[in-house]
Amino acid sequence: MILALAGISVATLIGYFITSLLWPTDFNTPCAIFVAPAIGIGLCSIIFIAFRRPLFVIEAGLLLVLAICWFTLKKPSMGSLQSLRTWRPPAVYLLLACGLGMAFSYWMIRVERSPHGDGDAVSIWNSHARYLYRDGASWRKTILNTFHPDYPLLTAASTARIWRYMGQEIPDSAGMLGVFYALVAVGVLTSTLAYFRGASRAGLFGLTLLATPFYVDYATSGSADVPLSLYVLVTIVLICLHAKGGSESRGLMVLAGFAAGCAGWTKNEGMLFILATSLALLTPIFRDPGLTLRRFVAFLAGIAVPMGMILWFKLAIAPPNDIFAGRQYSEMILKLVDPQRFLTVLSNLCGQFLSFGNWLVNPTLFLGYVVLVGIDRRMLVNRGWIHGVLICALVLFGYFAVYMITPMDLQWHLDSSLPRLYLHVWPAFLLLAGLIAAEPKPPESVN
Amino acid sequence: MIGPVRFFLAAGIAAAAFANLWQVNQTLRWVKPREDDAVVVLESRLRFIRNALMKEGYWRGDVGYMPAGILQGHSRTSVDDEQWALVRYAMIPWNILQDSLHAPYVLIDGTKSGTPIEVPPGFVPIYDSADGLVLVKNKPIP
Repeated sequence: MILALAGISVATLIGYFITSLLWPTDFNTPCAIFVAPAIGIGLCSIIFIAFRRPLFVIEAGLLLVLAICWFTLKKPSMGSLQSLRTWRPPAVYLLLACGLGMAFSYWMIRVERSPHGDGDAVSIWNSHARYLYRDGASWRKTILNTFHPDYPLLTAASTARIWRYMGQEIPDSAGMLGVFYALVAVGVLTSTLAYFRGASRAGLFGLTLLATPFYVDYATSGSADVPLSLYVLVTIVLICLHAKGGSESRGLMVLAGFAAGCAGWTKNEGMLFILATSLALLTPIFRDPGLTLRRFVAFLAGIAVPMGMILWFKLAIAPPNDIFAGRQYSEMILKLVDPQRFLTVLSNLCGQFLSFGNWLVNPTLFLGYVVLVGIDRRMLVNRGWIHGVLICALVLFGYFAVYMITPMDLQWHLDSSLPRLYLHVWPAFLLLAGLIAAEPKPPESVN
Repeated sequence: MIGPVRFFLAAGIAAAAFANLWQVNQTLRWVKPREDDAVVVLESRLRFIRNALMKEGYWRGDVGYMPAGILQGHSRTSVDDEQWALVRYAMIPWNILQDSLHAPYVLIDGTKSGTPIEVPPGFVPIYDSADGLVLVKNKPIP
């Protein structure tokens, strides 16, 4: 357990140094602290796949170099620690802490009882992790013996990396990592909303995410959907923060690019997310080409490393994807224009939106909250918020299109995957809903 | 007026959240204990098969997987499919070939069907778990 925590701490520290170095000075530090683990775990999974054996040397070397850069460039003072001492948590965070306690008790028991995760984890994600851990360099060939060997490796590599740290294969690791991703997502959502909208809003929406039964349960499943939802959230948060920070905060776009790349390195659906994010970021190109391109170049600089890994994996190792392999355009077009399929997909998409979370009490109340407090009109022209909405809309449109052309039985495909797909955008949806609701007294931080 | 309504709505959201968390915790009643988890049980059963293969000096490669029912001519069931997927996971890095005798070693599984296991011609048993798992070796043709 201690060695697993050491592995997570090393990844978080690496992530923190990188995030901190790229973070604008005096700019929402709590959010940087919660973004850091996502960045660190993504980078460490890439290091694990790229270097394999000298993993500890590479990570220790990187940590040392980053620590030296951080101490030299950021010159941390004791003042920030003293401000921590004077910080008093708002009362609403007590509710969040109680919620965390309840979720934590569930997570611990669930992981202990089902250490190998759900069916998908056994057949896909943990199988990949086992090949990475057990089969040395020949994993590149033998991973083809699993179900869906074309699925990207962030989740599997992170699990196998923790096993390397532990020196043995503990099956509970995948579930515990899933819990960590979920906790980080709650932290990112809460800290971002606290920065933009204040503690009450943040606590309420953080609690809503934490109390989504399907999200809480799926965190322990060992599957890659909760990690993907984290990277989707982190990317949109960084884009929103960049929109506030202006041109001096280009580092945030680099981090957003890296997080989007990690989404693609987590699941195939993440590739659609990268495409959607790129399109959204390029939408202002006709109005302001210079600025848009500068932003996009920073985004590309961040995405380069994970995208390189994805391309290498897809071109050198992975077989073609089962949805697109051996398909003919004529057959796909016939499916695309079939009105019956259109209605089936649309009715399922609408029907499952209010039930995918397996709620006992549906949190549509919070939508009522948003309507009641009114819409902050400034957000409707806020670049970060518009980009976030556009990204989510494009991703959902992409999912719709994939269902339309799927070669599998449509109803089976919808039933087996749609709730998970909603999970991918759920934390980001809560963020965007939390941002659009007006405050009686608007805080300084909103443009 | 809007202030108290907002407060009660926020309280409602918080109450709904705790109701949902309570419900999640209630679902633990139906989760089997660790020692009854299908994968945990299978992993501990297959540990001896893995050890037997390693003793043979066969560290990786193809291993046939044959449910005892299929060996006796019955058609494959969804239970057989599920069991193969689990065996495939538990036996990594060996590649478990479904319903196949075309491998140097073959695992015959009678745990799900309860069918008595017969060693197919051309194979010699090298490990018998006595509870439905038999590992056989392809006898080289003299």
